[in-house]
Amino acid sequence: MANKNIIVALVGNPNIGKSTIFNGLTGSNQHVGNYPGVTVEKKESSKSYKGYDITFIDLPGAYSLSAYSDDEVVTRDFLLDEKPDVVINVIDAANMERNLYLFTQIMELDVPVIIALNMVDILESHGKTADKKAMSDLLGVPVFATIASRAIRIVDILDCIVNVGENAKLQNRTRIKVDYGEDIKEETDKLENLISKDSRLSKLPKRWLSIKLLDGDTLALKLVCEADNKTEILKQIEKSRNHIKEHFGREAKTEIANKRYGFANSVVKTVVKRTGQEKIDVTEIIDNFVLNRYLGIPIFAAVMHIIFKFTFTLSGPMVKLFGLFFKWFGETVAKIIPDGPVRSLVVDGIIGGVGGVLGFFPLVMLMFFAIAFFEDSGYMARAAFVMDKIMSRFGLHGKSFLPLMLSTNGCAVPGILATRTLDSKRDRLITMFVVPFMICGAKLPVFALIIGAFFSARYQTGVMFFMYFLNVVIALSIAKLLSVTVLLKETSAHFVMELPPYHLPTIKGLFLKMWERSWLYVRKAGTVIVLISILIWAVFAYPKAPVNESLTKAEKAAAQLEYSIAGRAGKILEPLLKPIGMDGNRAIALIAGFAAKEVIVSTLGTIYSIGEVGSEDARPLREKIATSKDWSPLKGVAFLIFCLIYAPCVVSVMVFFKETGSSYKWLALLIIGSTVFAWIASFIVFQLGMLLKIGV
Amino acid sequence: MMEYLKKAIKRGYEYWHKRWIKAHFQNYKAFDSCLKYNGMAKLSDAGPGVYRFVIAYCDDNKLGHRLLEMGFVPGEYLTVIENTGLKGSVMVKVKGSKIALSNKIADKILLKRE
Repeated sequence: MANKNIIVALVGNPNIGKSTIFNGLTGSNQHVGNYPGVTVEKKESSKSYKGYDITFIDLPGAYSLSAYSDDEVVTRDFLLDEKPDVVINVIDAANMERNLYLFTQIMELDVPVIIALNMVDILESHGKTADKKAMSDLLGVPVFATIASRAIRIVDILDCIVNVGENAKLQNRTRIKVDYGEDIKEETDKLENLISKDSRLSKLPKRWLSIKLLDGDTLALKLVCEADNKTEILKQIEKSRNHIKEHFGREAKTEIANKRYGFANSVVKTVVKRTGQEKIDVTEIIDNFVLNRYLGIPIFAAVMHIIFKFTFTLSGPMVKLFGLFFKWFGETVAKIIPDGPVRSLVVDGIIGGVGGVLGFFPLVMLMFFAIAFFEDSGYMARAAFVMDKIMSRFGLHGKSFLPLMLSTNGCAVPGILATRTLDSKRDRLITMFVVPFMICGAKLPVFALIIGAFFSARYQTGVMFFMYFLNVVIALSIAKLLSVTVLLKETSAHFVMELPPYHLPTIKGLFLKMWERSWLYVRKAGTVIVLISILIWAVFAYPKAPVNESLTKAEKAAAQLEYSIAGRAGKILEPLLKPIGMDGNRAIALIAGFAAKEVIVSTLGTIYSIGEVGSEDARPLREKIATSKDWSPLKGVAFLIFCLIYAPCVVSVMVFFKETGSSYKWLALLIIGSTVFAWIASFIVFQLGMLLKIGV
Repeated sequence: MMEYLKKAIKRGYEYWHKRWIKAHFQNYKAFDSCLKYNGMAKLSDAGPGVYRFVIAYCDDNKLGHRLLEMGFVPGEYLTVIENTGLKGSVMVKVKGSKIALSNKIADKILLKRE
C-alpha cells in the first residue's frame, strides 16, 4: 500500500525562527530550488511518519498575504493554488499582535491551520506567559509552544499534522472569524453574492476574495477582470468602497486592517497574562551601542574585520589543499589518458578551469558561514540600517553592502546571488552591476605581482590600500551614475526594516544555510564553467604552432601562445591598447583574464617563457617584469587600473545574466560598458603620467 | 597671513559645525509648535517620545500597505526611540517590534500627540 501524502506549508513573518522550526521538523534532507519566474528560494523536504509521507514546504516570510513583494505573492499563490493539507503558522509569541494579523488572513483562506507559538522564552523574559489552551479554544486551532533555539517536541507536532491532515473535514468546524462590523459585512455579502455567480471565482474562498477586493488588492482585481460578470463586480466594488469611506471617513483598506488588528489585540489580551517581573532586555543594551550615532560605523567595521579574519585564516590551508588535490587529480588523469589533444582538453581545459573556480570553495563556504551567523543572530539588519545612511547617497540600498562585501576579497558570484535579499528591481540591478568591480580574491595575485614589481616594500601596503580606496570610489561612482541615468525613473525600495531581537543561532541552522548557499555557488559556477573552460582552452591551444625541437619547453609554450587564436587576437588589439601603455602580450593576458582573473598571472608567465607560475610564488615573473623594457611603473599602474575595471570574469557574467532575468541589454552594458570605462580610466592615468613624466 | 588663515579655518569650522548641528539635532521646538497649532507633525522632526500615528502620505500604494501590515494603523501608539536627523533614519517601536525607517519615509508620516 502506498503511503498517503500530506503537504505541509510553513508560513510566518520574516525573522521569527521559521526556518529553525523547519530544520527541526525535517532534518537535513532538504531540497532548495527556485520558484518559477521569481528569485525566491523554495525549500522542500519530506519525511515519513506513521505510514504517511509528509512533505514540508518552507514558504518565504511575509507580513501579510498581499501582492506587494515577491515573497508575499509566492506565499499566497502557494496557499491558494496548491492547497496544502496543513498550514503551520509560526507566531512570534513576543510580538503576537502583528503575527496574528497574518493569521487572520490565512484563516480566511479556509485551510486547516496549526499554530506554532515560537520564542516563548523571550515572552517569559518580558514577564508574561501565553496560555496555549485558551488560545487553542479561542481560535479553534491546535497550538504548540516551541523555543526555536532548543529542541522541539517534534513527535507531538507530527501527530497533530497527521491528525489534521486525516480529518480535514473535521477541521472545518466553525472557527472564529474576524468581525468586520455590520457595514463592511453588508458590503462583503453583496460582493460574495456576485462572486458566486461566476464559475471560476466561486472556487476561491469567497469571503477572502471579497475582503481583498475591498482592500484594493491588485492580484484579486486581476482575477475579477477575467470573470464573466466583471463590470457588475467592479461597479459594486467601487460602490462599496465609497460607502465605507463615507461611513468611517477612512479608506476601506485602513478600516479592514484596523478591524484585523482589533481582533488580534483582543486575542492577545485574553491569551497573554502578566506573571512576573520584566527582566533586563539584552537586545536594548546591545542596540544602544551597535546603533549608536558615533559607535555604529566603527562597530560595523570591526565586525567586518572579524568576518574577514575568520574566513581567511581558516580557509588558507584548505584552499591550498584543494589546489594540491586538483593538481594531483590532473596528474593522475594525465597518466591514464594517452598524450594528445584529448589529454590536453581534459587536464588543462576541464580540470584546470573547474579547479580554478572550485579552489575558492572553502573560502566561499567559510564566508557564508560567518555571514549566516551574523544574519541569524540579527546583526545584519542593524548593519544595513547603519550603512543605509552612507549607501543611500550613492543610489544604493542599505542592504547592498552585503553583496559588495562578499565580493571584496571574496568572489563576485556569491555577491551577485546575495542581491536576492534586495526588494526592488532597481536596487538589485545597481548592486549586481557594481559587485563585479570590487577587488575579488582572484584579482589579488595580479595586484600583488605588479605592485611587488614596481614599488619598494615600504610603499607596497600604501599602494594596495590606495587601490582599494580607488576601487570603492569607482564602484560608488558607477552606482551613482547608473542611478541618475539608466535607472532614474525606477524608484528605490523604501527603507522600512524590522530589527529583530538578538538571539543565538543554532549550529544546525548555520550549517544548513552555509551548505545551501555554497552548493548553489558550485552548481551555478559548475554548469557554465565546464563549457567556458573548454572554449578558453581551445582558443589558447589552437591552431598548433609548427614543431621546433631546438626550443626548450617553456619557449615552446610561449611560441604556441603567440601562434594561437588568442595570441593573434592580442596582436590585432595592440594598436587599440597602445594609448593606454600596453602591448600585445598584455592584451593576451587580459583576454585570458576574461576566463578567470587569476589566469592573468599564469598567462603572463607563459608569455615571458618562465614556465609554470603559481599565484603564491611569482618571484621570477616579478623580476622579469621589473627589469623588462616593455614595462614601467606607470604602465604597471595603468595595467592595474584596467584590470580593476574591465569586463568581469565569465562566471560572474553568466550569473549576472541569469539573475537579471536573461537580459541581453544589461549583459552588453556590463561587458562593453565596463571595458570602455576601463580604457578611458587607464588612458587618463597613462597620458597624464606621460605628460607629467611620472614613473615613465 | 597667519591671521587670515586662522580666520578662514574658524569660518570653515563654524560652517560645518552649524551644518552638523542642523543634521543631527532637529529643531524640536518647531516640531512642538507644529503639534500645538496643527495638531499633527512629521515623524522626521520628532524627538524621542510617545506619539500616535495618524497617516502616511505616499504616492504609491506599496509603501502605505507595507506600513499597514507592519502595524502602522491610525491611532496606534508609536514610540520614537532615536532620530538621527537629516539624511539619517528614524527608529520607532510599533506593536512591540523595532522598526527602522529612512528619513524619506519618515517625512511622509504624520503624528499626533498621545
